[in-house]
Amino acid sequence: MSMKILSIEDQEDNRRIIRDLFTSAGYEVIEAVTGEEGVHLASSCRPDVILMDIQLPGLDGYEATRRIKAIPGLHGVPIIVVTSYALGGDEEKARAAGGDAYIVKPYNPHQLLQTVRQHLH
Amino acid sequence: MSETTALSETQVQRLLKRLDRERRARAESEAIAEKALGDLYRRQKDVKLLQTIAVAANQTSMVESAMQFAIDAVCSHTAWPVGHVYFLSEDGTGELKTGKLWHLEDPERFQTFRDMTEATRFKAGVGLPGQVLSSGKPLWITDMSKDRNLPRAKAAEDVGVRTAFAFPVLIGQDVVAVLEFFSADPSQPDEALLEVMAHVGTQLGRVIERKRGEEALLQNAARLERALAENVSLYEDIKAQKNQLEIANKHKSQFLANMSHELRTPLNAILGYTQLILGNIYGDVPEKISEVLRRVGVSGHHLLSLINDVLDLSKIEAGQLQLVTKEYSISDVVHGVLATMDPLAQEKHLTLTANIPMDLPPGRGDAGRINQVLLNLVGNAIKFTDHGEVCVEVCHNQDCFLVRVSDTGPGIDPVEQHRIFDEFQQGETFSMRRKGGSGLGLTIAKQIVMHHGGPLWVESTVGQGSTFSFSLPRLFNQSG
Repeated sequence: MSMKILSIEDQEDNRRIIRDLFTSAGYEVIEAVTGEEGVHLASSCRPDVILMDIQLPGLDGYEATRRIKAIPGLHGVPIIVVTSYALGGDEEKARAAGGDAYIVKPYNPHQLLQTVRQHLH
Repeated sequence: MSETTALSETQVQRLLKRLDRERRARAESEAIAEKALGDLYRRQKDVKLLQTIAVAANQTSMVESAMQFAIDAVCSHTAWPVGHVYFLSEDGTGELKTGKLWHLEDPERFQTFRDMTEATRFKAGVGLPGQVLSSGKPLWITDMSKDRNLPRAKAAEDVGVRTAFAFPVLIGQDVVAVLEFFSADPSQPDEALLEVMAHVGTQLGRVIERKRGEEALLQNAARLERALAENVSLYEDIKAQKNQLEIANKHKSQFLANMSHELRTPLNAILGYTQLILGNIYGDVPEKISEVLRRVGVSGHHLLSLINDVLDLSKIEAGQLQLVTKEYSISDVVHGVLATMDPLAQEKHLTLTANIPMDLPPGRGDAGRINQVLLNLVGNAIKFTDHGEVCVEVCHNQDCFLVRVSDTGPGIDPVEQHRIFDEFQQGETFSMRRKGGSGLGLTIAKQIVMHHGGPLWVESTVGQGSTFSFSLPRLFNQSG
């Protein structure tokens, strides 16, 4: 059975890159465009790993991460925060919200794939 | 007996004459004594007058009240019915004009004389006050009707005054006011009185002088107060400008941070798709297309490094450069940089070597930032060196790492050596256009090293190459 990855990302190109990358690597990719939708899909689809953008319309990535981590049974699902924020303190904020890893855009797709694999044991 | 006691008629006459002489002599002596006593008494009164006016003058700095007191006192002393004060006009004409201060025993009787006086201004030398103004000395006119230089002679005659005297109020040699007095009874000059009046004039001069001193003091105080207020408002202006600058600077930093974010988003798509295509995710890619795509990737990464430089500099300027300190291995950092840079060195047929001791202790600091510094120095060395080698050396003592990056490039002349650490500067000898780069790299590298508490410097000889060195405290202390 293939691994399920939830990609929460509002920007279409970035969504497609993740989709193409992980689909070709044999993952099942589920997509959300907003933070609310992401929290909802995390709860209903129970993914194995989540890629979380920070700058999202409405609920931002930090808050969405906090909410997902608070859902019973989802605490152990790794959330990899992907952001183009590169100001000092962003990584700390992401980790404080419950993010398990932090990757800055633009990322090397192979690195992203590797990071995801590391968090799936 | 009768012969001896009886006096002859001749003898009697002689005695009577003698008696009469003696009586007259005694009367003369008495008259002289009486006159002397009278003079003494008047002198005493004069001195008393002077004292009274002097005391009053010393107790006030109100010029008008001192003058009024003086004319009242002089009139009461002399029993003259009219006293009046002129002041030197302050309009620069040098004329005397009425101070509208009068002592009038019978105001109604002297009304016309008063009106005429107040309507007249006296130039130096003209009339009673004008003559006092020009001479600076008291003046006595026994009969005004016989003096041709008196514009008010007719008016004086109409109200029945005959004799006049006036004296100046002096500050030093300068006449600043004139006091004049009139009498209906013709009388001869009283020299003693005039002498006393001269003293009165001096006393009154002191009142005016004191008043002027006070005014000058007040003006100075007011000027100081204004200057102070101006300084305060200047200070407020500067403070406001400084605040505005700080706000503008914050806006700039925020703008750069936002811009950096906005630029990274599309760059992520460009670099991401490039990598996916090169990774054959969309099918096999012919070598010709791969080669071009690799160049797209290199340019994209170059653009990214420029964006990162601008962002870093804005953080440094805003004082927001935060070091993420962790334990690190300096040896790993150097080897990582060498691995990254080796392809570039090989492309230029340069030898990239390292001289790193085996027993380096672990360090504490922001390894990512130290990596950035070393990437910049090695990148520059490769960029500017066309032949020879680039070498990275590390040595250490108990407290510090010393990292040196030397090259066999063209070298940097001494003037340029100072400028290359300034923003947007590259050595004139190798233009920015030719070599690319934001011109911010060295500025940022130096700031990063300084944030760790160490120096970064260059030694170079033109034609022989350059060595960039920096030292880092082995264990960075956040609070230090």
